[in-house]
Amino acid sequence: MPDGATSNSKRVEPRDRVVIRFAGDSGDGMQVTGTQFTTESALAGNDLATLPDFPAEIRAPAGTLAGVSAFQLNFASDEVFTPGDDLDVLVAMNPAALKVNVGDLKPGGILIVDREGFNEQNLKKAEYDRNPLGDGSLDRYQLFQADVAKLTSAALKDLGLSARAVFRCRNFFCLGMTSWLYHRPIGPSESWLSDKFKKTPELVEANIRALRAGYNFAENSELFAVSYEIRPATIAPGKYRNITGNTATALGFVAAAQKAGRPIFLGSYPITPASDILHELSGLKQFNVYTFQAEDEIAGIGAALGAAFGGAIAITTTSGPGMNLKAETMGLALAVELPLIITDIQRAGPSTGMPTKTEQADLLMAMYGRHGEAPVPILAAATPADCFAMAFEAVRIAVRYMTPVILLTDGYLANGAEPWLIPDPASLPDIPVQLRTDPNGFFPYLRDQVTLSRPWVVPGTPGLEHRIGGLEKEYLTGNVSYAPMNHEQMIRVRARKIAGIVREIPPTQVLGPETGDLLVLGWGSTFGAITQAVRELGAAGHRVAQAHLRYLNPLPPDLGSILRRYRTVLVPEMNLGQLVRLIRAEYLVDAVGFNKIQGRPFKVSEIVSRCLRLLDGTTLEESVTEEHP
Amino acid sequence: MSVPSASDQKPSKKDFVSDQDVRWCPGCGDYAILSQVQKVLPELGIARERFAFISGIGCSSRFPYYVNTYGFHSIHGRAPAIATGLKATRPELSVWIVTGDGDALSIGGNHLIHILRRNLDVNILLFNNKIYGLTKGQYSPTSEVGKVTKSTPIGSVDHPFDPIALALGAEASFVARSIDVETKHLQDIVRRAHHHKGTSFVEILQNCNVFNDGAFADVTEKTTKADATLVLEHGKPLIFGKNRDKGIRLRNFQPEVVALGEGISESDLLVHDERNPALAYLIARLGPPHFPTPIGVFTAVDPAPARGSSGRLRLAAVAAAPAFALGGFRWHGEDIVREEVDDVVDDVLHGHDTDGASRRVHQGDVPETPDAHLVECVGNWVGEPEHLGVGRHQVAHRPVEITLLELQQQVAFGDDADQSVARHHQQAADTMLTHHSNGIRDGGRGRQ
Ligand SMILES: Cc1ncc(C[n+]2csc(CCOP(=O)(O)OP(=O)(O)O)c2C)c(N)n1
Ligand code: SF4
Ligand SMILES: [Mg+2]
Repeated sequence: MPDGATSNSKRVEPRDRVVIRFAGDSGDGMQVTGTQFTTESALAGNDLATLPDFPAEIRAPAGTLAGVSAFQLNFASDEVFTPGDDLDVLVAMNPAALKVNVGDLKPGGILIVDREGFNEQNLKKAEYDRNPLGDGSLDRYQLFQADVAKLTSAALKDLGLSARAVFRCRNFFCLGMTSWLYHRPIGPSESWLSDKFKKTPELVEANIRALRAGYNFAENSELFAVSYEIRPATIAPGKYRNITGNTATALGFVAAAQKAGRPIFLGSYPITPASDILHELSGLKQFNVYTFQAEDEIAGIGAALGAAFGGAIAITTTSGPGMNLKAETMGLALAVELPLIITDIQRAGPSTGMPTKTEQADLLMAMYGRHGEAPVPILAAATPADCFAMAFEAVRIAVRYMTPVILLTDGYLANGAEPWLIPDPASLPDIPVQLRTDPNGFFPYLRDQVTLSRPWVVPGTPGLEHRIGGLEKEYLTGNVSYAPMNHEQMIRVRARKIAGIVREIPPTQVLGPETGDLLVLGWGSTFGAITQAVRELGAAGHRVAQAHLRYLNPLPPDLGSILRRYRTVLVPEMNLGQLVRLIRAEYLVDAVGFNKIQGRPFKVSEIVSRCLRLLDGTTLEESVTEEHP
Repeated sequence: MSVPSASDQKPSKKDFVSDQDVRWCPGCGDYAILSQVQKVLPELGIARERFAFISGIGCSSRFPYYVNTYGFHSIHGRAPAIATGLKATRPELSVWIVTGDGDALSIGGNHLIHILRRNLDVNILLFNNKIYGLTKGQYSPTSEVGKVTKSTPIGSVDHPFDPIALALGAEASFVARSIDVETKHLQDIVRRAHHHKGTSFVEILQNCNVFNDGAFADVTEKTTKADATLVLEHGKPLIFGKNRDKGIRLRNFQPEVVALGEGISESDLLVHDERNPALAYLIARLGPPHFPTPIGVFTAVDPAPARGSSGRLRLAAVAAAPAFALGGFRWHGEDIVREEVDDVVDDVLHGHDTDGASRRVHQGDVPETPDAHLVECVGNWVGEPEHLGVGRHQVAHRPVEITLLELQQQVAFGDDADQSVARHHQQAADTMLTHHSNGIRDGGRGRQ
């Protein structure tokens, strides 16, 4: 039985890191395959990062270029910051998957295809004139052709399954092959299958057989002469779990609510890529989580605000289009000064844009997208696992300052995964909540002297009956007031309250030299690519440092002085230059933008080469697009 | 779990009058409504702090400022959404939504039909003056065709909504109409709305004497009102008129006005039945010019046991159960017990399968890594797009049973469910069962 040990007859070569992508038709189960390969890799002890990439259509026409679904994984024996730039391995289930993805495969890279998928019909759908498997166009790769469908059906011959069911097991055959190739243990996938198809034992049997058949085929056939070993990474000891950004976000909220001793109320309306937080929290009701799938985004945030009035940790989750709908209620939330967390899982816009693709173009909307003087604190997570920390922090700040807080993540963080060292709950900060019950000296807008926040009073509390609302309030009493000076006072106190959140921000970590030629300043999901790029530049002897912002409003108090310690500041963003605009306005620093708006994260190499040109003295703004039209 | 009232004496109307000056135009019908509500509230046996009035925007929506309870003057059309969150979080509160014809039926139309569909246990008072008062007199979704206003100088062309018919169409469980100046009737309706478990929808015909004066003159003027108003009473025939000599009869499934006597007796008339929403709809279609305007309770149906073909057990039943708490959990307005917090957090962080993974390792299925650190994996991955929308956890509108199933599946679907997680789920499941509730997610039992 295959157990990760490899037969001695074949050569084993060590590798430090491997970037693999599984690509096929939407119906080919590539996300499952990639996920299982990831699970196996995590259990093999590698550090890793993933990038699922799928079409927005649930079932695009089979075999077409539009229907290609892919899952990329970077696993290594040392630290991993990104899902990887170029591929070492591409598994392509059909011509369309090949055509869409082969450009990312390194020369000399491993290309595994299902030969039978390259039939006339599929070739035509993928717009190939000739079969690329035979015309020499793939000569610069190590091409491995296996008759996956035929081998799978042979393995499943006596199970009496329909041809279609058999066909659908091909992905596990491929998982078996790649598991052998990289010494992955297939036990975890077998137990996953046993659970997943518990109700249909014949499918458990079929998929496990396909998995083993693929594994054995790779071991025994002549196809592969070499297999590869990637040693486990040395990472901090402790218990880890693989976690996607969306799951981490959900868990961060729950942990924070528990620490605050309050229940969670999530009001949300489904939207890609935010829905998984709704799904995740819906499955955690046992932790005092109340989820409400509202009739629209406005009702989602409205109900959340009502729940905040009622004393819950109130959350709403959405993506760009939903953010637009929530704007008016955010204004109300900051006027009535109730805690509320608005989570925007950014996706490629404007309008419906590219719903399953990532982008960072909502920062200025988060900053300014409300009428009136309406400041809201903004936090942004840097990695999938960091979503936990920032979700937790968003709750802490919302409650402490009685304010709506915007938490920004994006599609890449939401769906990407990485191993996460499960924190010790005792190490998480406490979130003290004081619900006011004392009528003595009570005013609805009596402010805390330090934080300037007003008391949180839950309806039902005797003697504290009061009214709140969107009309301007009198400074202390909260009664409706149109007095000119009062309005200015209220505008200013709300602004001061938000500005005062700087006292919560830890010192900004600068990675690299304390002064130097170049600081790469990032926010959000560009963290991985920037970190890797700056490391590589540092290793090559350049005086380049990195700082990454997780607090975007207010900005960290030490940022201005950090920026001035470098000759040049480069701000890579997946937008047309939003943080760079804020930085230039705030600090009068001549920061340079670097922009990529392709629905895909930066590659490490893109950032490295941009930095190198800057270090050469070029300071013009550039975008990735201009380099690759 | 009753909280002591703020005042020891029997509350009176003045306890419900806030210190804010009322700012409606002199003569506005809103004054009368405010006064009747303030009269009824102290009679309901609920401590003042247990009331919350939530409103949108409009003249009518200023209402909460004038009632000395908890109040929230929100944004245009969204009061039902805010009230939903509050009621879900604080089921022990008596929650009232105050709204206008524009607020409820125009900008807030979507929220209105959905709160009615969910049958959340709140009361809606819709002040219908058939005009946008606060914005100075544009036609509203209840204005009659041909209404001449500043925005419709040659008359409006849109057909009006009938709020009662709309609410019935959304299958509201309590639907009633009253009139601002009918003090006694209005009080009765407000009282009944309060006692109904489930969303109570009350349309109040309200005179805007500035922008739409006399819109309901036929039902308020002494000379015409008896002939123009049909007062609904459960179990009673539909009779109206100054001399109570006219009635509504059904012929060929069409209602008609008939004169009593001359061979037509009361037994020929339609008899009102609040428990029959179909009849309520038929009555809702009555009104000028050929019929009197019905007022009273059109329908009041008990949400449990199931009614009608849809057979829905809805939030009302849930909210009616005394033990109803947030989502059926142990939290009931109290803080989570502190000592347990870190244990609970630990549970949630480890997810569905932590010990499962370690068990596998110990069983030797998975080679121990040289570093001997343990890496666990979970099944919480983004699947193919088809799994994105309809993944493991169907979200809303599912009854307790499904949730239990879901919990079991979750246990099954985690990489490897362990005992402690299973136990936790079971506890949660037990709590839910004892509370007979699953919060808003209970809506739609009939749609499994
Ligand atoms: C988002 C938004 N759009 C428009 C308005 C302006 N506005 C305020 S009240 C109102 C109409 C109110 O009509 P109705 O609900 O019938 O209340 P009434 O004043 O008649 O009681 C409008 C359009 C607003 N406040 N907010
Ligand atoms: S405008 Fe009409 S509805 Fe508004 S306060 Fe004046 S009279 Fe009342
Ligand atoms: Mg009106």
